[in-house]
Amino acid sequence: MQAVLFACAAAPILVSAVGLSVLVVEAVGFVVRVDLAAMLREGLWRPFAATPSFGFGGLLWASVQIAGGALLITLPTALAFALHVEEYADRPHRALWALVAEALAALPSIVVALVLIVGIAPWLDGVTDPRTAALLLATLGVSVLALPETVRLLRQGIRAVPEAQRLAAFSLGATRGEVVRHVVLPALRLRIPAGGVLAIGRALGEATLVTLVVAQVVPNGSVGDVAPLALTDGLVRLGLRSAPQGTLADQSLFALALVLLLLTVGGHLLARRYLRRERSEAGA
Amino acid sequence: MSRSRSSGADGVLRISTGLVAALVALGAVATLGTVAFVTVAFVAAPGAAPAPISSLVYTLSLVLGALCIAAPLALGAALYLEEYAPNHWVTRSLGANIDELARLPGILWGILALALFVRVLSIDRPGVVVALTLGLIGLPRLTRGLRVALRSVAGPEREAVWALGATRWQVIRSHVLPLARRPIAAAFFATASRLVGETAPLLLVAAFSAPGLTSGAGTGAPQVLAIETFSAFFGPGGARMAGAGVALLLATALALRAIGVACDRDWSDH
Repeated sequence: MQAVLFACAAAPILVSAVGLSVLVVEAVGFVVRVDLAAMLREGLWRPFAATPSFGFGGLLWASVQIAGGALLITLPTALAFALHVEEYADRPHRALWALVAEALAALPSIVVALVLIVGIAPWLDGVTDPRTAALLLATLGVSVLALPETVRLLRQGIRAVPEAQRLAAFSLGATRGEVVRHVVLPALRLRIPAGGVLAIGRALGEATLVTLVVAQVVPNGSVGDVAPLALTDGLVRLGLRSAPQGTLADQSLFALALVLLLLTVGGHLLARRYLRRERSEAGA
Repeated sequence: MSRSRSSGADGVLRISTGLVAALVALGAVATLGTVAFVTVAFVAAPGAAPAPISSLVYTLSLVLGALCIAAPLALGAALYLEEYAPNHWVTRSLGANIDELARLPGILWGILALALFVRVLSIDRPGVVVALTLGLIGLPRLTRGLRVALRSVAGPEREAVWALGATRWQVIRSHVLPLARRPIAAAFFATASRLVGETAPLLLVAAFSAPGLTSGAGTGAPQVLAIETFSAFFGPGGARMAGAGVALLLATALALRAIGVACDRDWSDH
């Protein structure tokens, strides 16, 4: 029985490893066929042009901007939300706030995209140029999508603070705010960067929302015509054109995916290191 | 002096966290409102297409199929990691890797599924490829949810059965699984709620396994709701035409999530 269950646990790892090896083989096939130096020098990602160019620097930079902006919005919001729910909200209200968090976690990205396009994009019309507007909207959207996971992580951390420490501080005459500042926040000092890194990973990996916003907000919007604005946007556009197997454009899909994979997995490893350090410090 | 300064800071902290929380709640309500508004405008418009109910049924059946593929593996993995696994670096890294897979962005799952099901296995039926892709995405997420569910069974409850001389498997079958049935059901519904809204990976595998489907050309065949909604954004009416699909997606995702939350709650003592 134990062997069967072990096989079940190993199955997802093995299956993804097979997929991953195909991805790496195709990505290597791409790298040997193109001029890597030119890829880094050129700023344009035009895999279907007559003379295709694969400069992914522009895509990467846009992704970094979106993820950085999302970090600036998500992390303080998630921290304030988690502190309010766990420390300030009255008991009967707490369940209501937990429902808000659940509802946010259930939001499909396509729903957030529609709200941005119909509800907010018209306000930005004429204020900024379409590209900046798309960038701003995408940043706002991925911040919303990264929120639930970050809130969950921080709430777990706040709940892990021993009640005895709070009571000790109260008995010394501390106010609720002093407890938050001197007991709860110090206990979160490794969890906040972990939450930030996870939010960045979520923001880098969001595809549907970014593609929809860019295609709708930048004029003549239809997937394929507009220059992609982020790594994931580039992936979706490449995918929808479904280039025949073996072509340079098809292989570039896998190469771009590998870049995104390394970025997100790197971020997750960093987050895991923070959390492990937190555990070992708590145990010490 | 320092007393009054610190209580001023306390007030600011309290009010600002409250304001941010209210803002988040307001955002959630505004989202629902916008979707409702767009949907009403869509349905009231002359010549509106019927709401894509058939797509919803098709999507739910694919999600159900995906869960059926993922369920035995996920349950086995969760049972192994929570009940059997010795504290060893192999088993620890197994658990950590499954957690890592659960966090992988959807679009990367699309590429992996494309590599596996379209390139390596050359499956040429789009419905099967989509169900397998959803199963692949759901597997690590479901495993993570089921592990949390199994952990909810308290230690003394296991130890009591151990003390009666039960084997590990007997403990699982007679106590752990029945006692954890609510959170287990909740994990299934939470996973289903996430799978219904997955768009990017399905767009990718659908584009490669059935070219033409994603361009919105009406082939008459049922289509996954998320893909159909995505295509509607690029239809003649633009984003507003996607209203009905978005509303259905949102309602389905929220309903599944709500059922999960309701399952997880012990109604007997209320």
